[in-house]
Amino acid sequence: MDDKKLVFKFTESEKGYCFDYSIESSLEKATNELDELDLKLEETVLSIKRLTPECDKLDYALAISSGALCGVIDIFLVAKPGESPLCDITDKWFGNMTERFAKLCGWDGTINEKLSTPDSLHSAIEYLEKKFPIPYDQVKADGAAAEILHLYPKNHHFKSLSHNPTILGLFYSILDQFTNTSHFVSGGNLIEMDYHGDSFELKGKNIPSKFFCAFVNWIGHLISDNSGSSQSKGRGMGIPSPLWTWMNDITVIKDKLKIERTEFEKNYNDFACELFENGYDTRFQVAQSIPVFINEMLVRLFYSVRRIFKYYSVTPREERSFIGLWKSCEPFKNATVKRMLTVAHGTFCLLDVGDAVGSGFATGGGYFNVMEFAMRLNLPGLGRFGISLMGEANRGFILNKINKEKWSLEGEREIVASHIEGLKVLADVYNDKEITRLIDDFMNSSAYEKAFFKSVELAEKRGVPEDRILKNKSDIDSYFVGGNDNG
Amino acid sequence: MAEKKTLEVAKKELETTLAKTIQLIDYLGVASTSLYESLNSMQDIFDEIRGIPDDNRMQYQMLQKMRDAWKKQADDIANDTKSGTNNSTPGMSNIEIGFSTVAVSPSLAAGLATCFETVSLGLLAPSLGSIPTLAAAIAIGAAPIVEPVSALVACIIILSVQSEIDCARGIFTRIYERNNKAYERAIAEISERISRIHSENNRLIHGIKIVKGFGNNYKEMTIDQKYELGTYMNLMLSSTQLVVNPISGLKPFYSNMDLDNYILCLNEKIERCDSAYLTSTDDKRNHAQAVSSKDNCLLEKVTTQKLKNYVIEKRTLLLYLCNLLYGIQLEERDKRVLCKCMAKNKDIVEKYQLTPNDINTYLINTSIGMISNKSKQTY
Repeated sequence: MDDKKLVFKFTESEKGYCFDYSIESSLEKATNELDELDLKLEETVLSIKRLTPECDKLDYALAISSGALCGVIDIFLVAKPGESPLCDITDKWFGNMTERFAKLCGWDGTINEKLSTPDSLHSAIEYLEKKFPIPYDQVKADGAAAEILHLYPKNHHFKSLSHNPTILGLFYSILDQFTNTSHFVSGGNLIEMDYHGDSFELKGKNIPSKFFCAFVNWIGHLISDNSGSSQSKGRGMGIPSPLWTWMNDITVIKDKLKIERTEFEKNYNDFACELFENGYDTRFQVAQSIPVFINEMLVRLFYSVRRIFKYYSVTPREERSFIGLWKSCEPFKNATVKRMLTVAHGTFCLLDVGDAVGSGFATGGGYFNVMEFAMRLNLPGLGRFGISLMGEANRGFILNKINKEKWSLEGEREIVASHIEGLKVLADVYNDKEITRLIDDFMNSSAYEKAFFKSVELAEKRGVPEDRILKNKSDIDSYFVGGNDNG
Repeated sequence: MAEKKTLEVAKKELETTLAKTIQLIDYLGVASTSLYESLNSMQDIFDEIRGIPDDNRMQYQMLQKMRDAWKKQADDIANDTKSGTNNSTPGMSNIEIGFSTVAVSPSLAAGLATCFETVSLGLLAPSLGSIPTLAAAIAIGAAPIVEPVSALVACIIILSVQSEIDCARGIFTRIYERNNKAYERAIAEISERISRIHSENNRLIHGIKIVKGFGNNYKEMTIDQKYELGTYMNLMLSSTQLVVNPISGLKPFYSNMDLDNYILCLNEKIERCDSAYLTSTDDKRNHAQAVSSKDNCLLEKVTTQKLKNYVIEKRTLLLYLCNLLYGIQLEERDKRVLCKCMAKNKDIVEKYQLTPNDINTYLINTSIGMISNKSKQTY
């Protein structure tokens, strides 16, 4: 044994010693431990409840229906660029936004008749182009450079880094404005061109103010380019979707790090550029987001409405409150609505991908038309489904961890409960203080017969074999005299 | 999320509780020694009144001799065992109990004699030679006081997958916690006993003085004196129980008797299958049902018979497992990990002469079935 000494506290009284480790104190300690474990278990159970979806068949049916409906909307109303009724609506919305922004910047609404499309939108765009000048708006290269760089008006916004609505796009816009240059990505290469047009001057008295002006110019120019340029006929090219321009960023980074671009990257970039040239811009991407948004709202609405009805049917009138109602039908941050959303978006993606694949084969003439597939594929929908799936996986992982925790706590609880049962048995066995006290009291007050019968009780409680206990006067006589008592 | 107790913390708590238990057993030995003396003195007076010696006298002398025999056995084992510590002092020997080596003093030997079931009143050994050695008694009788887990815990390092390591640590932590609780119960009970022994010893000492004054002629005593004699006799018997009843916290979780009861249950089940088989054969009204029922009875009988044979064959190993796993919940994964740890443990493999095929989840499931059978019978 260790050299350390163990100290046991005990109190001494007339009746003897009493240690601190009594059955009573052990029972109290164990009961407290059990209560703590029960609290922890309750917390764990509540956590599990929060993470477990409680969708019934109708919830799943509604989610699937919503996903299917929005899938149909996506197939027929979004379709692909150039054949999208919804895209026409988003084009108009972006146009209106551009005009309102122009008015906010001081445009008086005058229409320039000299433009190729003399209407309010193009006039507003022209105003904004003048209001927010930038040096990187070369729409094409001249002569041989055009052939080498493949830089045309149709792909200018895609290839120009500063026209990309990304962080790198902002960086290069500011850089180009400071250095009077333009940066393009073409054929998997980063190209820098000097500005040779009308003199461009970045406004601002000092560096911070120049930075601010450069940033504002970038924003303003992007808004103007969103609905095409002032010289464009029809809807114009718009600005490329950030979901397709990321390869430009990779090209730039690799160029700076002197890493060679792969053939796949070049082919991907060309593919994305061709997609843009076919009208796949930010406006179309927003149009694609509409059925995804409708799907999201529908599912949350279905969830809330069902729970409202349930709340009113289950809760007695006097217990109803707005807070209670909101808590029961709030369509946020609960596992049930998230499960419904996963199912809805999954259904939507199933229909969308099915349509894209089908169209790819139908228009491929024996081969798979990748361009057709890419134009019809709803990336925001896929992205939203991906987020839902990640959420499910994360919840599953946490749930698994909590279930293990619960199992461990239940095991611990069982041990403590069993311990308490054992202590209760002991408490019953050693519940003899009253008996011994009475024996002492009877003896002290000369009530010897009463003391004797109490001693019988004590012997029985202690488990003395029945045949050995002296239970009455004749037993005493038998023991001491052998049954021949004449006393 | 709730904080889990680690294996190391559980082991540390168990070591502390075990050390307290050993020390309290030592105090129990001291207390019981003085009680023996009072019991013997009181018995002397009763024998003089009766004129003949009582069985109890022999019993108390036997208890005294048993105490000395425990001590002798402990000395013998200490001389044979390879462990020796710096704590050895003249007149004492050292023995492995729990995690550490303990010096077995006469009082500890007396305390241990009190704690184990072999010293109950009904089991007076015909000769001293048949008293089991201390270590053997500990091994077969008192599972908690030996730590069968330590060897298995050492096998955790052999596991390669982190999840299996966590699994094994969880199992052994629960086992340590369960054993810790058993020792806590033992501590509570021993404390109660020690306090009662002291108070009843005082009562007996006081009674000896009073009873001496009654004289030796029972027939000349008054009724009150006779009742007083009877009271002291019952008090003596009651006090004796304090030194012979086994400590419940140190009893094995699953004993030989429990295993025998389990085998009896299996026998009863086989008999029931036999009678059900005969009944279904006699039922000629519904032939198809009878045939199906007959097949089921036969299948159940064969399965139960196989189980019975398996239990008898692996008796010792199953007893060890039942004590190891009593009150411990296990998932399927836990069982597989436990089998891995056991298979890697040379001590267990050698001790129970196991082959790799012997250690499987069927073994664990059988022991769990035996444990749940005991629980059903208890409730």
